[in-house]
Amino acid sequence: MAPSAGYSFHPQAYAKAVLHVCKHSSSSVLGLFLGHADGKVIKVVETIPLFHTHALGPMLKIACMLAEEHCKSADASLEIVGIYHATPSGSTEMTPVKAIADKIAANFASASVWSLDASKLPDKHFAFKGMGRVKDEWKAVGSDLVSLNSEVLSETSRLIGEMRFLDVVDFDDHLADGNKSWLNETLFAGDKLEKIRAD
Amino acid sequence: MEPGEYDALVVKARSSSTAALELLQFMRTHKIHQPELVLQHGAKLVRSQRLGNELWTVLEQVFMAAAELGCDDWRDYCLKELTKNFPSSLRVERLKGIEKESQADWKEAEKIYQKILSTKPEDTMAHKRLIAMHKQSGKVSEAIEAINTYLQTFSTDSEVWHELGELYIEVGSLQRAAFCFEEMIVHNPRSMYTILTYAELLYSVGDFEASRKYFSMAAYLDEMNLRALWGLATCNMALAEKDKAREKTKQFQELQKLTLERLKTAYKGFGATGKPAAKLLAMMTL
Repeated sequence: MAPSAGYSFHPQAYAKAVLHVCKHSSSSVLGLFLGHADGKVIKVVETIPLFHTHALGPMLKIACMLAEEHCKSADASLEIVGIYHATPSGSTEMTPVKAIADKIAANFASASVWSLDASKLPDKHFAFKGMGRVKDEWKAVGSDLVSLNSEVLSETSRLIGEMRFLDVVDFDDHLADGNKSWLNETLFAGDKLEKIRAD
Repeated sequence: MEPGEYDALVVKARSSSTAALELLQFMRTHKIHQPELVLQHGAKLVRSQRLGNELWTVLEQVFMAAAELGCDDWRDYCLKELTKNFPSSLRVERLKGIEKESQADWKEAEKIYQKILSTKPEDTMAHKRLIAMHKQSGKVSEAIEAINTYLQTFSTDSEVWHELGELYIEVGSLQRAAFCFEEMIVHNPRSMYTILTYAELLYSVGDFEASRKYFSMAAYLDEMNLRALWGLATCNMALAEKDKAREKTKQFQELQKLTLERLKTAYKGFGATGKPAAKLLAMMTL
């Protein structure tokens, strides 16, 4: 598959991923990006927060299978297009999640991995460092290839300030209490973020 | 802790200071880590000046949260108050070490901890801080080495076995991680968390049979535990793939049927996440 010409993030997908990593700033965090390829651009339209403890085989498998079922019923073109992660040490190396990333890339050739660079958050910049799959290798994604409505960055900052990250539910939380929904369908209900359109 | 108990307290704490104090106590007892909430409520409570005897505990709690979040004003204030009241306390001495850590002054922090250890070599907290410092500066292999040395002396400290297990998971040494969790099971055979993590590790190293046993035990101890049930279902699937003939026997068919039935029942009440779960469960029938 040809290298991707860019990655476009839906406002809520970006905000949800950032809030998830902010909620567990002293743990390793992992989540999925769902989306589809639109020509050469990868559109990330939804985020599924997974873990804030270790990510081991069985639960990771179940979480991915559930996410795939969700994709099928939400929109036929939707699939798992990447993952995001964060480490308590702040390292943006993809090594800890490389095995998982390789698995995702086996199913979606243009997969990408996004590591949180928390130093970018205070300046309201795009806070993930990307690695994209190009011809069976992981290559750094230039920041010029990422498109996100600029309003989203300031709204995400506001949400962090309002401590809205406390409301994010991930798959770990769901496993501990089934009533908590990893789909987070009401996380942004009534929030200004809902009205911002994707680029 | 009952499901929802903590979340209810978080909501209540917004409107009443008694509830806020209760929330902070609850977080201490159950070791819930959410420093932003501690700082938010703790700061208000300290300002109210009506804490009485609780003041010192709350000051310590706020100090820890502030040190972690880089909220220097509160960190310094709490430490000043605590030092004033307990000038010769070892517990406050450790907090001074943590203050240095939060300023990334590793040398000074190490000095403080070493000083504590020179007069009180059995001070496990100081040992643990020294280990944590390796971890914070990203030196995982040094941290692992330091923990192993620590465990030679304090071999029944399951908190440290846990830390070591998590570090091994982080670097991908799952066999070694499994060994650490075995130690933890010996110390506390009924801990759901330990049993479940051990089961997940066994699965990850390919020992599906043993993994199934531990997931089964977890599902026996807590019938509707989602992690245990999903784990059991995944193990059954993996084993069925490996040995088709054996898994066709009635016993194993029954086990998978029971597991899936329980999950189906559980997910009926779970709203939006029930839909993908129902579809997946339909696919998992052997």
